[in-house]
Amino acid sequence: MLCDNCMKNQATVHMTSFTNGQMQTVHLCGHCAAQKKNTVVMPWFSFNDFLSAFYEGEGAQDIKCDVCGTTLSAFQKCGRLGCANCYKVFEQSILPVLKGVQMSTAHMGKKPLERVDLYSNQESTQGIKEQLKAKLRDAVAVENFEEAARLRDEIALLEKEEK
Amino acid sequence: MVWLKDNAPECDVVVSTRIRLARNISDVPFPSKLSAPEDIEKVHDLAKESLLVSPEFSYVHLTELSELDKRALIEGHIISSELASGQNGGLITNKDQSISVMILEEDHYRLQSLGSGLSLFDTFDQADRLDNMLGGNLEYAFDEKLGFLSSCPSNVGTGLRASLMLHLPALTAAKGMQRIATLVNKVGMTVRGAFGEGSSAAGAFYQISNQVTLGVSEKEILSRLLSTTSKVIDFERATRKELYSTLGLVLEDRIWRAIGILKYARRMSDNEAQKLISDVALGVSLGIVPGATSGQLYKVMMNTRPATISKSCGILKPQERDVARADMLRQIFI
Repeated sequence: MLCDNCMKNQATVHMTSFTNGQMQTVHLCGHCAAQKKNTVVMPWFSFNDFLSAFYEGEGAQDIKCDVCGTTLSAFQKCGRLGCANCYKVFEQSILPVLKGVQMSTAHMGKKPLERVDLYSNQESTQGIKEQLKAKLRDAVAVENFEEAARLRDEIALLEKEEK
Repeated sequence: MVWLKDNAPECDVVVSTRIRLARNISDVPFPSKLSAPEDIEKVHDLAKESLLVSPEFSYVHLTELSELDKRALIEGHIISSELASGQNGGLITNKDQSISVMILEEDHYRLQSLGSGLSLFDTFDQADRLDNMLGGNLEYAFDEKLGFLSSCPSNVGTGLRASLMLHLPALTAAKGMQRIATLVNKVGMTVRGAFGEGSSAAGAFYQISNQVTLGVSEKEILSRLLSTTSKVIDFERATRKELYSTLGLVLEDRIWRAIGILKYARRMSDNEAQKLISDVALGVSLGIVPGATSGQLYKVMMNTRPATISKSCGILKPQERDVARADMLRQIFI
């Protein structure tokens, strides 16, 4: 694929942005991407942007929560769920969106009635993983996607070992 | 704003810390699908039973409050306009309103804790205690994989939104806010004007908060917000110094003029007061204005906001309010 900008070099950087629910992907060569980096503002995607981008034009049949009666189309419209059971009923629709806007789809925080210990400082797998994740974010921020992919795999490996 | 201290950590830049937790009860429909009166009552009652055992807390149903009371609570960031406009909402607060629970806003419960200056860990700890106080008496909607379930999936997981109110006059003057916003966005956080959604930040006050709530621990969210904010604080301080060394007397003149107006004006709009107080706070941090702290100034600014001043003076008309604000400011800036 050729670069969208200069139409000469091979495109190596693929930038996706969401504006008003519209997804746009630009394919650029390294040279043009470096130039563009200073002008393109990558917005932090809002949940609703993602939601509408995922479902726009999708004519699939509507699903309904058997507990509260919320329908998938109503949820997509207003972004709000009707009850705890909705998370199970609409799981297939919610998870891909969560993957886009959240760090991962696995809860890492407290459980009910647990106390959060903010002051302990143990260097565990958790700590190493956090450092890797920080590096991953930095790599993504400077659009070093090769490094980002490598770090992502390393984190996945650690997560596998934990289980 | 009784909870705002005169002197708090990093208060030359950080006005306040706010922690908010979204929580729901497992077997009651979320607010958007909640209509049965007995369910609505249950949500209120469970919170009252859990928290009113402590004498420091008090409860009020939103319909018992006047419009002015509600507006003052919105100004103080104690309740949202969404809660104020609804018919089913309730509010539990401690005496100085630094700890509160909004009942039946977007979620069954929105727990909130406020702190002066930069105090993410301590303020979170308060909210965490409150969370367990409330959670001890009911079963939260919680999923092992997704964490605390919220009405909008953008809050799922920890349900934690941590935000810091920052005073960034130098970065604003140097037109650096766009760059700051881009930097902050890249690490999954947002910056916006502190007074009202999408408001232009009069007086250069901003709110910075986390966006990601799932896949990270509470500690990680707070640590990341802390490290990002520390960078913003450093930028702001460096820019202030740069501004002073470049502008010198021009800046001093602007700050002393601000004090002059605050001392002698007979009418003052909220917007003007915010801008002038922002200038004076900048002067305090640069050592131009002696004998005051930034915290004291923030408190004055919060206390002279429209509904808050109307409530304390019993005046409702905007023109009269501007006179009352100027009177109040003249007594402070002697």
